[in-house]
Amino acid sequence: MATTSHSHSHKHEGSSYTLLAIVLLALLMLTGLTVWVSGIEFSSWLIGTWVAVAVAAVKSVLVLWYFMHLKHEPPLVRLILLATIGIIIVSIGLTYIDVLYR
Amino acid sequence: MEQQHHMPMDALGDRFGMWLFLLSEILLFGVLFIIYSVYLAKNPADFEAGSHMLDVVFGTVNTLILLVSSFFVAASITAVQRGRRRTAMAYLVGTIAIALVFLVNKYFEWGHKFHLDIYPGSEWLTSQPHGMNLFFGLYYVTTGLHGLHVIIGGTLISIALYLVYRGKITSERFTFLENAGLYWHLVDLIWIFVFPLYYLAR
Repeated sequence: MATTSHSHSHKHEGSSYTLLAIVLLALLMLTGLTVWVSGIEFSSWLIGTWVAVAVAAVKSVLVLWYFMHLKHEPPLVRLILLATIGIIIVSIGLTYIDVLYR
Repeated sequence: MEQQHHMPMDALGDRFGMWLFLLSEILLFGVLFIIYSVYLAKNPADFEAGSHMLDVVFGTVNTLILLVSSFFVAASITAVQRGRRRTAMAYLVGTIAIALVFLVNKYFEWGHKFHLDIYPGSEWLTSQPHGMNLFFGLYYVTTGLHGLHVIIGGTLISIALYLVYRGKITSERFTFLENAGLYWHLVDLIWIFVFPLYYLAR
């Protein structure tokens, strides 16, 4: 049966339940890691924050790639998402440069 | 574009539109995180003290159940793609149940804070250092806005549940469910960052 979308067909069986469950398990474990790491005394608060954000970023990638089906989306969707995240990171960076050196 | 149905379907277009909307939502919450990052840098001690007053148990439980709810939504889409209507409905009911639990948790969590006189403008909070007020101001705005999104997302999922029940969402045509799912995943994504930054900033 012909599909009505040129670039990508959803006429597949969908992500397997097993794959989704494995991703969930990874997410739950990463949550545990986040809590555990928060108890560690780093030399500065900045490091702790960076580690927490890094773990959160890994979790986000899992959610985006497998749960939100970014894996199956055309590159344009991934591009605009990355561009948005880039805007936020640049905004934080530029704001820091301003505020911290006044 | 081929038109083999009465109405032309552009599933990718529909999804793309939803992604664009999600990006605007990401920018919205992104702004709140930008503000947080600046005030954190200027008031690290106060932010840490404020974070200690948040209940890690509530935060962790809410994080875990939202992750499970995202799994449920993704699984419901797989179920629909395989024509398993009842399975899909069960997963969606599970998602809605978790949304309700999350909101109930929020009710108790905030209620406890109000009881302890910890809210913007309260006598106790205004007597605290400036950084503490900034922390809790940001906390209430961010988690409040997030809670609003939980309500909206839960509503969209409920509509999707109804449409699956009525056979309007099928393996041939399930973009509404995908889009409602995308919105729900966004709710989960935001919380994934809220949790460590507010509850674990210690």
